[in-house]
Amino acid sequence: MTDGKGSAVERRVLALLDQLAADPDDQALRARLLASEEPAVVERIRRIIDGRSRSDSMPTEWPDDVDPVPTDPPERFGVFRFIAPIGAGGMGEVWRGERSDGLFEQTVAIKLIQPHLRVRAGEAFSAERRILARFDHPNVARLIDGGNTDDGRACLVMEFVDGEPFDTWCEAVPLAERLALFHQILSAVGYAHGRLVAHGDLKPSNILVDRDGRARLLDFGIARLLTDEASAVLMSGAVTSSYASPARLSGAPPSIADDVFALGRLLNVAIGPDKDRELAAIADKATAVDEALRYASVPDLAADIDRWSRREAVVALPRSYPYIARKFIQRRWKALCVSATLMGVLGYAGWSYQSTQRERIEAAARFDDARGTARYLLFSLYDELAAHPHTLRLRQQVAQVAQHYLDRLAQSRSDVPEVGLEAARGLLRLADVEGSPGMASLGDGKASRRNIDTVIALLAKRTDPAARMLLFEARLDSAFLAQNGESDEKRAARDLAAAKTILADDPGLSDYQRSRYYLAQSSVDRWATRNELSIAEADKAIALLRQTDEDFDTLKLRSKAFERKADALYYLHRHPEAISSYRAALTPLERAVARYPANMEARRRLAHIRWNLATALMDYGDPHEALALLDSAETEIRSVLAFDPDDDDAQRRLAMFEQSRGETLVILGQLDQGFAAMQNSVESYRQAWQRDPANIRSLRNYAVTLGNLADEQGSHSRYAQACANWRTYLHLYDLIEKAGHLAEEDRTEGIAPAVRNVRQHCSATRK
Amino acid sequence: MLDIHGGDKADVLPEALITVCYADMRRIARRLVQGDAAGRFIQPTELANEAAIRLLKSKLDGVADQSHMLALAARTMRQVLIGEARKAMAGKRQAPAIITMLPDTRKLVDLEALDHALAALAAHSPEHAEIVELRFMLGLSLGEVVAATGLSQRTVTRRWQSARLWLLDHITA
Repeated sequence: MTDGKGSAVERRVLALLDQLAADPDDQALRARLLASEEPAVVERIRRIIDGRSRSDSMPTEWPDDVDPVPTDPPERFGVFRFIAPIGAGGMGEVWRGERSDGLFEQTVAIKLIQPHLRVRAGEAFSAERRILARFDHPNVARLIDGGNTDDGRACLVMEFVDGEPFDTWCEAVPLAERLALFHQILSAVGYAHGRLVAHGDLKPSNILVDRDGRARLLDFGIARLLTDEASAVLMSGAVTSSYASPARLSGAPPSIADDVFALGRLLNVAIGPDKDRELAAIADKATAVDEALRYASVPDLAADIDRWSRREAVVALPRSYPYIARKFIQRRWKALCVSATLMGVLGYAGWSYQSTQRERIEAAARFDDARGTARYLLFSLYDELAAHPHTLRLRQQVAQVAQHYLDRLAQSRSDVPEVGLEAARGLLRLADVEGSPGMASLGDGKASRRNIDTVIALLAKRTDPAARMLLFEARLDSAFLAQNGESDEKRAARDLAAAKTILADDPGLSDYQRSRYYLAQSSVDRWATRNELSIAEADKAIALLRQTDEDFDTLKLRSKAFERKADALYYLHRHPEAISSYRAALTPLERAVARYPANMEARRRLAHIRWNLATALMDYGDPHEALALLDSAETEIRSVLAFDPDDDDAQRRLAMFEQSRGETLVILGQLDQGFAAMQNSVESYRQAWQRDPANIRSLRNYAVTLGNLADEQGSHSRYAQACANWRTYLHLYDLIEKAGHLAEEDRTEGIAPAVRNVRQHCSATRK
Repeated sequence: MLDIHGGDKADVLPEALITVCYADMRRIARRLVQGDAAGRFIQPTELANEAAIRLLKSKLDGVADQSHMLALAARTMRQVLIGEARKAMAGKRQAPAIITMLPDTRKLVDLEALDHALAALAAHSPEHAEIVELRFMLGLSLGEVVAATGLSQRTVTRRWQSARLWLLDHITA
C-alpha cells in the first residue's frame, strides 16, 4: 500500500501532527514547525488539517435505517407469505405475513429468530410450541405456527396485533383506565403462570393495546424456545432491559419471580408521573431485588392492587395504625366490590386437575419454571384456598401438583444451593399440609414422612446456616410426626437429638424456632412420663415467646406449650395447676380467632383446648363449666365443619366432644340427655365407619364409643339399652377379629369385661 | 476497571493471556455489536469466542502483555465482524455497512473503512494505531490508556488527536 519512502513521510507527518493536533489553527506554530520540512510532508499536513472540513460532511447522527440491511427472508413459510418487515428486536426481525393458501384471509406476524440464537433442539422446540399454541386468553396473542424457513432460520407465526405499545398508550389515558388495562395484563400473565409458562421478557414493546382498548401480550414463553445459553446471551448482552430482573440479567432462565418483577416496572409506567404513594409501594414490592420480598405470585400482586382500589390497607406498606384507620375511613365511603382474584385462583387450580395427562407430562418437563411454581402453589395458592370454604379436595389436588414439581426439584443434581433450599422449604410445607396429625391435614401421613425424609437427606451434609436452620425445622417436624402420627418414640428421640446438636451450634435460630424445640422435647418427655422434665421444658418454650407477638404461629405455639404443661401437671395429679394451665392455653387461641377469623386451624385448636379443659373440669372442677365449654367447643368445630364438610378430623372431633358432653350430663344427673348425646356420638362414628368399611380404625372408634355408652348405661342400671349395645359391641369385635386386627389388649380390656357384663346383667335375654 | 499490567510479563504465556483477557474481550465484543446492525450478524459471546479461537490459532509470539493482547483481540473481532457481515451479504448487490461512531468526533464511520484506515496507520506507526485500538475499540478513557501503556498523558493525548485527524483524512480521501 505504501512504499518505504511514503511510510517515512507518513511517520514524519504523524510526529508533526502530534505537535500540531492540540491546536491545528495555530498558524505561527505551524509555520515554525514546517519551516525545514520536505515539501511532501508539508503538503500532507496542509491537506490533513485543512481537510478537516471535508470530514464534516460525514454523518454525526445514526441514520434511521442504520439497522436494516435487511437480510430478506425466503418468500414464504408454509402457507404464510412474507409481506413486509414491521420491526426488529433482540431476538430477531418481525415481518408482517399473510396466509396465502386461499382458504381464508389472515394477517400474521412472523418472527424470524436470529440465526445466532440457537433454538432448542427439534423435539423440545415443538413440545414448547405445542404448549404455547394451546394458550387461549383474550389478552395473549396466539401462536399459530412455527418451524424452520427454507433457508434454515427458526421462525414463529403469531397472531398479528395492530396496536400501540403499553407505555405510549398510557400517556393519553387517565389512571383508572391505565389500571384497568394493567389488570388485563395481570390476568394474562397469571393465566400463563397457571400453565407453568413464564414470559421472561415482559416490557412495554411486548404489550400492545389494540383499537378496542384491549391489552395483547406478545412473545409469551418464547424465551423458553431458545436454549438457555442463547436466552442468557440475549438477556445479558445486546438487549438489556430495565424490565428484566437481576436474575434474568445474569442469564437465569425465566421464572414467575422475573415476571412479577417486570410487572412491577410496568405498574410504574401505569402509575405515571404523579405517583400514588401506595401504588408506588406496590410497584416497589414487586421489584424488590430479593425475590423472597417480592409478591410470590401474580395473584398476590393483583390482590394488593385490588385492596388499593377498594381502599383497604395494602400489603406492600407496613401496617401502622394511622394508615389502617385512614384506609378504614376511606372504605366506608366506597362500596365493597368482589375481588376477582379468587375467581382467578380457582380457575388456575381447576386447570390442574382438568388437564390431560399429556399436558401434565409436558408441563413436568418444565423444570426451571417449577421453582417458582411450587412456591406459588404451596404458599400462595394453598393459603388462599384454605381461607375459602369447601376447598379441601381442591387443596389436595394442589398439593399433588406441587409434589410433582418438588420431587423433580429435589432430584435435580443442581449444584445451586438455592435450589436445594427451595425444594426443602417446599417439601416441608407440603409435609405439613399433608401430615400434621390431628389437624385438617390432607390426611396422608406416609407422604408427609417421605417428604420430611427427603428434606433431611437433602440437607444432611450441608453446613451453610440457612440449610442448618431448615434441617432443624425438618428434624422437629419429623419428631412431631414420629410421635403423633407414627407412635415411634425412638425416631422422635433421634430427631430431637439431631435438632439439639444444631441448636448447640446455633446457626442463627430465632427464639420462635428454639421455642419449638423445647416444646417438642416437652412432648417427648410427657409421653415417656417424665412429667417434671416436660413441665420444665414447656416453661422454657413459653419463656422464649414474646407476649407482644401476635402472629398466628406464635399464638399457636404458646397455646401448645401451655397445653403440654397442663397435660404433664394433670398426670402428676396436680389438677388445679393443670386446669389453670389449660386456661392459659385458651387465651392465645381466643386472640387468634379474633384476629384471624378465617383461620380454621385457630378455631379447631380453640375447640380442642376447650374440650381438654372441660374433661379436666368434669372430674376435678365444676361440671357445669365443663358443659358450657363443651357446648362452645362444639359450636366452634361445627363452624369448621360447615366450612368444609369433607374435614374428617373435624367430624371425629365433633363426635368426641359429643361423647364428653354426654358423660358430663350423666355426671350432672341428666341421664336421658346424657345418653342421647352419647348415642349421637356413637351414631357419628358408625356413619364414619360405614363410609369406609375397610377402615379398621373407624370400626374400632365406633366399637369403643359404643362400649363406653353401654358401660355408662349399665352403671346406671339401664340394662335394656346397655345389653343391646354390649351385644352390638361384641359383634363389632368379631368383625375386627375376622379382619385379623384384634390385639391382646382388645381381648382383655375390650371383650372380656363386656362378656362378663352380658353374662351378669343380660341373662334374661341370653341363653 | 482493567488490570492491564496484571502479572509478570515474562512469565505469562500468550494462551494464558487470552484466558485472562476473556472477560474484557466479551466486553469489547458487546461494545462492537451493541446498538448496531452488527448484532444481526453475530452475538457478542460468539464474537469473543471466535476471536479467541483465531488468536489461539495464530502465532502469538511477542505478545507479552494484556494491553497488547486486547488490542490484538479488538482487531481480530473487528475482522470477524466484517467477515460475518460479508458472508451474510454474499450474493447481495449492496455492500455491507456496519456503521460505528468514532469517539470524541461524533462522526459515523463505516467499520470496514475504518479497519482499512487503521491498518494503514499501523503500517506507518504502530504506536499511533495502538492508542486508537485502546481508545476506540476497547472504549478506554484517556486516563485508562495512560495506565495501560505507561506513556505520559501528554503523549497519549497528542497521539490520539493526531491519529484521529490522520484517520479521518484517510477515510474521506
